[in-house]
Amino acid sequence: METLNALLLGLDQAILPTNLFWCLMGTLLGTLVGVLPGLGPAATMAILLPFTIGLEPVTSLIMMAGIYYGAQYGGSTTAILLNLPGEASSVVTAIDGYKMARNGRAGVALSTAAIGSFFAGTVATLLLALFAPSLAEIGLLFGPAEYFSLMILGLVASIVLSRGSLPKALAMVFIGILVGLVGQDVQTAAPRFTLGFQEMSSGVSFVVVAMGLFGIGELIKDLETPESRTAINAPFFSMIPSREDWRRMIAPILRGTGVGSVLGLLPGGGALLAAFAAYAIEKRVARPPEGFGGGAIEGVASPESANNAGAQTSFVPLLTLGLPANAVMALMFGALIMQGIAPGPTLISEHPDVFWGVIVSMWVGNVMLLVLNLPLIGIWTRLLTMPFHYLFPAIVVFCSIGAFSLSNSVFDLWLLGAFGVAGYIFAKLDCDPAPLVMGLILGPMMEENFRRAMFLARGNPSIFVDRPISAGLLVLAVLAIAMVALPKIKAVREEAFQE
Amino acid sequence: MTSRLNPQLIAGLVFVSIGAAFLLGSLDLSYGTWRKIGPGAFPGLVASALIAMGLIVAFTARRHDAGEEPPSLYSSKVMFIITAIVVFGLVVRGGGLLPAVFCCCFISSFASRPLRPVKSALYGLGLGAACSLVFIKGLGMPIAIIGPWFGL
Repeated sequence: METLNALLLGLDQAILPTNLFWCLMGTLLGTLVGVLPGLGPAATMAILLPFTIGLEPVTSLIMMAGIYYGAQYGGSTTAILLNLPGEASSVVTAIDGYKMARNGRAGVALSTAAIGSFFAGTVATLLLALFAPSLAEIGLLFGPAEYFSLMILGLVASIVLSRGSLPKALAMVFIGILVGLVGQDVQTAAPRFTLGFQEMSSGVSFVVVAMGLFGIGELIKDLETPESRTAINAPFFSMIPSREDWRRMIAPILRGTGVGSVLGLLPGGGALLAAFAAYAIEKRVARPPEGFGGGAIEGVASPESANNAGAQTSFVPLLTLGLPANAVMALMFGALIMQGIAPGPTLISEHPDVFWGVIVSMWVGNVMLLVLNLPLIGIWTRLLTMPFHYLFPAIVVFCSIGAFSLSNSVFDLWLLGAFGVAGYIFAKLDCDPAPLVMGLILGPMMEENFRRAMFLARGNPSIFVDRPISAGLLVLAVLAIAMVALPKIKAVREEAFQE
Repeated sequence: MTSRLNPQLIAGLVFVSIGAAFLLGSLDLSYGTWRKIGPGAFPGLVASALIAMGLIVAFTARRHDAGEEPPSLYSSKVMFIITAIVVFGLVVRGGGLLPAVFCCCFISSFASRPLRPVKSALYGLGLGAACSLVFIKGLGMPIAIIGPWFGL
């Protein structure tokens, strides 16, 4: 009953005309970037973040969330029609989805993806509404020691579950933490690493770093890969799945939703991991397995459900514990902070309108996507033929205006340029910038909690292992590292990301 | 020589130098005591860990990736994009948003081929007008469309 009331409160927020409008804008923009390969949701959110300051907190979050799950939809559209996964999380969809399209079943594949995503989105929203408040209550029991350990676990898990070499990812996290510590020390007001710049005493803006690393960095990378996009219009026969299709997609959608919901909850999880895991599971349970890779409807239904479910449940750790699970959630964290709201266990009780409004709007956004997107597919595919040389100067301009408008300071533009160069170099050196952004967000909080815990324990570092919850979290973190370090599991992990 | 300069090794060295820079910086700050930890201790710890990771990355590089081509870090495209951002920063206060967007758009379009200067200039003007309309008239950004440089 309480949940129902809360959901109604959220519905009140979600159907306000302004919120509906920005939700629509977010989902459309998200679909657009999902369709266009190159710019990911993280980059788009980073670029648009400065422009949302003027909006109400709940409205800006609704729009940001819309970009995230809209991008999943858009990414799967191009994955199916053109074998071009616009998003990393739709890479697996392309395997069977594109084959279906080649077999003249593009319409069915697209509606399967839409139906699966919608179902998964609905279930994930309900799960979020049911379990998030109790998780937040657990979070209220946490002291500084628990928070410190939780952040360690969050950082470790996000590295373990990401691709690429472990030491490199760890190094990127450390760089992120260090950059996050630039500026005045909270406790002693001593300026740290400011290189004498007055502008740096309030720290390096999170938005500028994210924009430089993701936005500018990805842009330069895209420019170096020659344009070779040709939109083939796959023949549409029927959008409506046959009775046989329905029968075959039900179980995979349910499995995908389950897998996605659980994996989304994990720190480090989210849409990407969910889609890969769901595809791997589907491949294993398929009878006969040979159909996989040749246009099996199961290979579309399951990962598409999973990535949407994962995208939505990954909001849980952020909204209940204040722990961003991946780079996109780190950007949501940044958006909350910019709006003057501290993400954490008190969010639900202090800002119930924001919490429930965002949750219900995700469901509303999914309805919008379902209703709007299928008829708009023709437009999206045509957009693919839009030449990149018109798009990218506009992106550079938006980044510049965005960075400047943060605090009307030209200094932020020099920083943007510097982090753009850094993003490019990291890309060249094959270093994923996502862990850096995680460290940037979590670093200052880690230091704060570390110092507070040490003060409370009168300088005895054993507080982190004496308190049971803290010890448990640390053990989990060590296990996660050990798992990756073990050669056998390492091989499995590499294989999983190969697919 | 080239066989040792692979991306892994470069990445490791980059990590070590960033770590060393922050470690040096942290030495100027107080480390405090166990009970009252100073502003330098945590950064010092993280910087040392970064150096360690950098060494691991560089050390494992020679075994695994020997023979890989060094990545070419130089790219004229980066230069154009970064110059575009810097020029935007130089122009926006004195020149106003419209000229700044125009310059930024025009310069960054040099990063793509084929280059069509007239088209790019027109596109830049259009984009500048659109941005002025949306951001200054619409969202109330506190900056002039055409700035003091032009005597207006």
